[in-house]
Amino acid sequence: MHDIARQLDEQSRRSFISHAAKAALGVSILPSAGHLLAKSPEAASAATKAHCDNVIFLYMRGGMSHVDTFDPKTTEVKGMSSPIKTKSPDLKISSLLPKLAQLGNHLAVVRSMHVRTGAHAEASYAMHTGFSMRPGTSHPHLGPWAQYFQGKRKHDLPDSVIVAGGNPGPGFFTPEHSPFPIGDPTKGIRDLLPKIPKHRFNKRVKLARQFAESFEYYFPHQDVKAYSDFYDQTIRFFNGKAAEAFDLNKEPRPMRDRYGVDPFGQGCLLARRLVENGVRYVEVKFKKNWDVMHRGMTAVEDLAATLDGPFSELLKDLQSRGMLKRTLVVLATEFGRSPKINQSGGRDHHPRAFSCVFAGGGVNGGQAIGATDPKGQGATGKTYQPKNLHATMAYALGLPLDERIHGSGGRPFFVGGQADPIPGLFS
Amino acid sequence: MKPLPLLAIAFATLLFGGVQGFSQKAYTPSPERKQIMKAAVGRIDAAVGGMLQKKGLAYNPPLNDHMFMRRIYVDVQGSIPSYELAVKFLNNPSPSKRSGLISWLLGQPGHVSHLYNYFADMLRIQSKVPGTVLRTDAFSKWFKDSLQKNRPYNKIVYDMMTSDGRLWDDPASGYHLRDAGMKLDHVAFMTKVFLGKDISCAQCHDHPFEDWTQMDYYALSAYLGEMETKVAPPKRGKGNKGMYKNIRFKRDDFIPFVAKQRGLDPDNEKDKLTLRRYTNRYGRDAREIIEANALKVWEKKGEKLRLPDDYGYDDAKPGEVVKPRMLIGQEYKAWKDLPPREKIARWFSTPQNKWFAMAIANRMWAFYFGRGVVEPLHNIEVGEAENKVLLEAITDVMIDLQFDLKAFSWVILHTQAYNKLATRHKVEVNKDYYFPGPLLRRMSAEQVWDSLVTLMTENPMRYRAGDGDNFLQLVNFAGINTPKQAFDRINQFRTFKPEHVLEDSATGKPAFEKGKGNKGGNAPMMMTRMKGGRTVLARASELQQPAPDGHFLQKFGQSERNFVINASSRTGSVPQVMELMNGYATANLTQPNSLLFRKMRNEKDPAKRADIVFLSILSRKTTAKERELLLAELQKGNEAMSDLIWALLNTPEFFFIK
Repeated sequence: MHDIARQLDEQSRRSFISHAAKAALGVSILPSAGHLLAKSPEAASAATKAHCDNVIFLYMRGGMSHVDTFDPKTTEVKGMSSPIKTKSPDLKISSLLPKLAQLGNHLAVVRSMHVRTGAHAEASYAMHTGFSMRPGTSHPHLGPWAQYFQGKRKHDLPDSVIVAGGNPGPGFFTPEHSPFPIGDPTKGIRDLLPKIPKHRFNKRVKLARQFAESFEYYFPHQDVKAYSDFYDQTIRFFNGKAAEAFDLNKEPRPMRDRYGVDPFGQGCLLARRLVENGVRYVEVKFKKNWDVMHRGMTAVEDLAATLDGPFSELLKDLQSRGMLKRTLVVLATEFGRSPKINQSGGRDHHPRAFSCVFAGGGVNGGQAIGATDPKGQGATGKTYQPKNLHATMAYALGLPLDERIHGSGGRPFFVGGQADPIPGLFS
Repeated sequence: MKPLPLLAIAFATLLFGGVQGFSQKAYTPSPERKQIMKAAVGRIDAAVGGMLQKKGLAYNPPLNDHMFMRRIYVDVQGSIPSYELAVKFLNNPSPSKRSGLISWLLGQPGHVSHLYNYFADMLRIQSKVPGTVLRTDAFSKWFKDSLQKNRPYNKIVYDMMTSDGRLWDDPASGYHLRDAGMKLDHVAFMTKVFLGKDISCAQCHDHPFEDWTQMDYYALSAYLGEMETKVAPPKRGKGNKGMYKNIRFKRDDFIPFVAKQRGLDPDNEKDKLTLRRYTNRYGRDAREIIEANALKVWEKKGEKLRLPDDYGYDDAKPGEVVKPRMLIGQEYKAWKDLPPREKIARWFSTPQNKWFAMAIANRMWAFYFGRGVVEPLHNIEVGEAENKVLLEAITDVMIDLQFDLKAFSWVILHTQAYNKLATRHKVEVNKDYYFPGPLLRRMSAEQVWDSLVTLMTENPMRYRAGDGDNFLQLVNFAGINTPKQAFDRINQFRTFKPEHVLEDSATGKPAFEKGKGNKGGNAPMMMTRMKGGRTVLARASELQQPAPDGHFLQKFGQSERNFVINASSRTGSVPQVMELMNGYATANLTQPNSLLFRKMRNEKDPAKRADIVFLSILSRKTTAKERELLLAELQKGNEAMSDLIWALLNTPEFFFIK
């Protein structure tokens, strides 16, 4: 909090603090409503045109090979797969993804993604934030951006959750904007739940509140107050929906089986469950690793299968619950894999051109946007950067792409880095 | 020559107090220095007092013994006092016991641990050089030792800036190696940390709101123009040009040894795949170890820093060689013939450079008051300082004390302002503040964790990270010339676990022995299973830097030590509260065989038992109102006591410093 607030000019400080208060107090407000009051009419109209309410961000750790998945080739680089028809006449994907092919009408594949670096950490950072790594600055993921602009949605649930993806923090926003980190989707928040009977837990809480009184009375300090708010929030968490929303055991066994035993599958199921309960943004990180340049091509078959099942189940599940229209599912990765197979029989890092996928959330499915040459090396037309991907997601959620935020060092920031959303995805 | 090592050991033992490794004595300055320190307290009191008077303000109320003790422990040794030490202080009848406690704590290893955390946050110290396998324990240990020996701060900085060689040649080289391969960013961090000047915007363009130009930035960086952080840095390009020239071992070199070890036949088609998988790992390990050997601070004579290709100002052309120039002031003529890095190191750390003294004085002030005399700490604007007299005073004091940080701490801790209750209300960062007392602060992540470790273990400083020499000996590939040697060394290297750097200061031996797994530890209590991970009950400064994902320290806002200096946070969150309610430490402390319960064992009177709990956790006794509240409750035995412990750990009084 300190570093950022002290860098702000007066006006943005005020607006920053009001946003922060909104987030901290867990006030549930209508999307954008509070935010729009002080905005110009153009900004308002841009901000209200939301195409979806939720985003599920599926992240392929390690660099997903594009030619083996969503950009299959018929040339010598094809590897062990070939293009197959999908439900859409305009889209072919790899034969390693037969279940997703059945849902081709939902998929919009962007085949001309590009990042500037072939290093995992840097490229992954860019794909998660839309910005390049810069010493001195920590950029937020999209979840905190959305919470900043639209306020916290539920008082007893976090606004964004990251499954198996570490704890990236709130970037330059205040800690209330931090995504809630979950390590193992099958455990959820079980380790953090009270392990004693409810009446005893409540007794302890009551005792603690009584002991806190004199301190809180002597120090009517915002930071102390913030803690008592966090205690209240946590107790609401325990008493409210959170424990259930995070608990996969509440899902019927057949449903859990549908998503498969791999942690990624269970993560996808948890994402659906969380979104259903009111979480706005969920990232699920692929537990396996696409970084298989030394392991040869057989590994790819397994990785593709681990993706194919859960991703397709998630889309079907969302659709059957009527949630697909308002939930944007994005599949992203840090870079592609070299179409040329290396000495070890694997593929190397390939930041020049690779694929990401959009589905649901008002996206026009059944199409490919952009293309690579027949050997999968480079894009044949315009390329899209991580910032375009973020601008696209922000645009879909109805976030104002043109509103300036002052982050650390007084530098201005825009969600999506002032880039254009990828065209052709939404009508 | 033979008797010499023995003698040296005996001498070292005398000096540093034997197996403890550190002296346990109180901080005792020379009488001359003590004079300066006392005068300095007077000067600062006058500056603060004068300012308060001018504004018609008064100091906050004074601290009673309990409050003083709690504050001084948390601020100086970085954790709450143990029950025994609390009782000892409170029962001490001496009228000078407060000053005595300050001096004693400044001499303790706990203070080094706490101050190290503060610097580790600023220097963004990580357990490994980012992106490599090279552990940096040697640097951390060197830094802690420097603090313990109370080497002047400007000498420590000078040593870091002029360090040379690999980590095992010169542990201070860990400072430059931290930012290996990112020289320009390194310079930006350097000015923020050591000068309190943020010039980072000028890396890409002239600073929009300040005077720094891109040329200033490059001219300062040019002093490091010859400095390299890697041997034979790889050049971009195709084929062999992109590789280290001196890769001595390739994957296939390991085939015969792996085949023998695993009983695989290189000619058998089926075995071939398995063999490849194993040899790949040896190839990768060899590459990573050789990359770690390539990390070295050295000068490439004649190498010059050039302006970027997109340099867009009129004073020079893109790609032109930049002439070194100091950011403020000028080079001394006498330094004319010194190497460039020597020049910049001297310029930074000379007592004549007021920026340097001001930056550290202001940081140390903030360390104890929760706010600098000027903010932000990394970018001081003297012109905007409301407290100019005070700023000048602390800068002069730092110079007069010759950068003796313990003396400077002693001075601050004796000022009237520090010895007052924390300010009741929040002071916004953009509001002026005249220091009627410190700010109310939540403890840092490290202070909360170290306080819990103090509650959980008899001697929280018992297990300490060593210099990692056992690791460096494995990673140092000098003399490894044949694939067989490399194969054997890699096998040894793989048995190394991070906990092997921990030493038991009670015995002087490693806390965990190789090959015995975690159970081989001398203190099995230290390790416990927690969420599938292990938690070592040692102070934060001795654990992995920074603590891994999901660790208590991370939840409480320990800095990532990544791209931002002082990125630690003291704000709450839901996962944090969950951790205090239901996490490992609370579970440990509330069970009936915890250290806290053991301390109550001999006490039968429930009211007195409650006092032990209060003194242990909050450093005070129960109030009449609290006793009333507890009266009926406490007759119920262990369960009630455990509920009481839980409740106190979950009150703001536990984790706020008042």
